[in-house]
Amino acid sequence: MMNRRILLSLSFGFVFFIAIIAVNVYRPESTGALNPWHGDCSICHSVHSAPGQALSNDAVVEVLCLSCHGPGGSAATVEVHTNTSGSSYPSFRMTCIDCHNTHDNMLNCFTGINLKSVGRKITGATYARISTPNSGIREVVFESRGTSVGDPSLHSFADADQDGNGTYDGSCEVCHTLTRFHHNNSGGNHNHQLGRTCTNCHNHDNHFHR
Amino acid sequence: MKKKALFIPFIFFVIVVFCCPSTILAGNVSKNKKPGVHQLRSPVRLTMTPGGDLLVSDYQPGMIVMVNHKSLKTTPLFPIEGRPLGIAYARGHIYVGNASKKCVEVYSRGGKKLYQLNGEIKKPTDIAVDAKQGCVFVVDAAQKKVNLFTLKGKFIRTFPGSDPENEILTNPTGIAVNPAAKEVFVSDYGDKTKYIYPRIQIFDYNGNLLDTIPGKQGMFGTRFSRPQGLAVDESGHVFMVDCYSGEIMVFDRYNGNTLKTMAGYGTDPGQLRLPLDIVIDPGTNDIYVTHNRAARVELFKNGGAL
Repeated sequence: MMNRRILLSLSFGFVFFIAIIAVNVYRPESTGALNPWHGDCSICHSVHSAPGQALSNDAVVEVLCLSCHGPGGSAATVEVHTNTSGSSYPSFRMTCIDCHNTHDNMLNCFTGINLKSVGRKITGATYARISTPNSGIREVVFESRGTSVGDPSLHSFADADQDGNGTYDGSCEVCHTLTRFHHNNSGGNHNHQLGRTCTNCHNHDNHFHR
Repeated sequence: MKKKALFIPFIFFVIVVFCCPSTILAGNVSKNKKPGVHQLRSPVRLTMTPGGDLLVSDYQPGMIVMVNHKSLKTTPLFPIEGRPLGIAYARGHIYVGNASKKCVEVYSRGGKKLYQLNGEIKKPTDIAVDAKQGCVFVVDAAQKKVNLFTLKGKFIRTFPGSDPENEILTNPTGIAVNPAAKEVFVSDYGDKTKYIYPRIQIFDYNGNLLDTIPGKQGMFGTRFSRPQGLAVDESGHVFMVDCYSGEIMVFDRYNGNTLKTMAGYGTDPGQLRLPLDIVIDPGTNDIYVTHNRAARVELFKNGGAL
C-alpha cells in the first residue's frame, strides 16, 4: 500500500516536471521569443486574475502598450499613427500591433532581422509583413535607422528601393500611397530626406506628424 | 398684423434653439468645439486650484488647459515649449513637468515663465505640492526617484536612497501628498522580472518608507497592475487609477484594504481607457479623471463618497 502511494507521488512529480520543461521549451507559434527589453510574459500578461479584458482585442493591446509607452509611463513615449488634422485624405488609425510584433524582432524576407519589432507574421509567412491600408499585404524590411544615426541607409525607414529589387519595403514607405514623398511604388518623389531617420521630424510620439 | 408680430419672434426662437451649438455634455469636455474652447488631445495629469477649477496638462499640443469645474468648459490657458506631464498649483503659481526639456518649469496663471526647479530631472511624470510646508515633490520616472524642492525651486533632497538592493521604487509614475499626515504616496509599476509587484509606496517627508499598499494579493490575486495618478481625501483614503484595467480604486491607508472600485476598461459611459490621473473636489466629493484615449476629462459625480 505504502509503495503504491510512493509510486503514485513519484509519477505525479515526474509528469509535473515534464510539464514545466515543456512549457518553457515550447512557445506557441504566434508568440515566438520575447524581446529582451520586455522581460518575460508576466510583464504584460497576468495569467491569473488578469485585469481588464486582457489582450482580447487591438484596443486593449494599445492601452497595454501605452501603459508604459504612453505619456504617463517610464518607457519611450509613442503614439498611434493617424493622419494630420484637416487632411483631405480619408482618416486612418494604425495602432501598435498594425506595425509591430510585440513578441519578437522578426526575420525579414532578406533573412535579416528587423529592428524595433517591425513587421508581423501574416498569412503563414515566416518573415515580417505588414497589412497595408490600401496595398494589400507587403513585406517590410527595417534593418537600419538611416544615415542620420551613422548607419547605412539601405533598408531604413524609406530608402527608395536602394537594393534595386523593385519593392519599396522600408517601414514608412511600405504603406504610403497618398503622401507627398516616398510612395510604395516607383511613382512620385523619392528624394525627400532619402535614407534618413524619418522620425526625427515625423515624431512617433506625435502620431508621426511633423 | 398681430399674427405676423407673433410669428416673427417665434421663428427667431426656433432658429436660436435649434441652430446654436449644443451645450457641453457632462463629463465630456471634448465635445465643445466653439472658438476659444480647447479640444483636448492627450490629457495626462490634472490638479485643482483653490477656486475649484482644474488645470490639465495636454501632452500632444503642449498646452496647459483650464477646465471649469461647474460648466466643464475647457479653455487653453497657455502653451509651453515642449510636452507637459506633471502639473501642480500653489500660491498662484503653476508647476509643469516638461518632458522635452527635462525640467519642471514654474508659470504664472497668465502663462509667464517665472523660473524652473533647480535639479537634475529626466522625466517629470507627476508633481505634488504641500503649499503650507513649502514642499514640491517631483516623480522622475526615468531616474526612478522622487525629488523634493522648495516652492521657490531650491533642491532639498532625493529619495529613496541610491542603494540598488533596496529597489523601493522601480517604475514610479504618479504622486500625491497628504499634508495633514505629512505623507507622500507614490504609485509604482514594480518590476515583475525581479518579483517586485505593482504597489503604492508611502513615505514621510524625509523620504523614509512608512508603508506599502500592494497590488498583488495572495498567490494569484491581482488588485491593480498599472497604478498611475493618485489622490488622498480629507479622511486619508487613497484614490488610484489603474491605466490598464481602467479602474478607479480606493484603499484604506492603514490596512491597505480595497474600500471601493469604480469604472473599468471600456468605451461605454463611465468606463475608461488609459486613465492617467485623478483629483477629488473636497467640497463636493466629485472625482475628475483624465481619460487619455478618449481625449477628455471625466466627471464622476459624488465618486469620492465611500
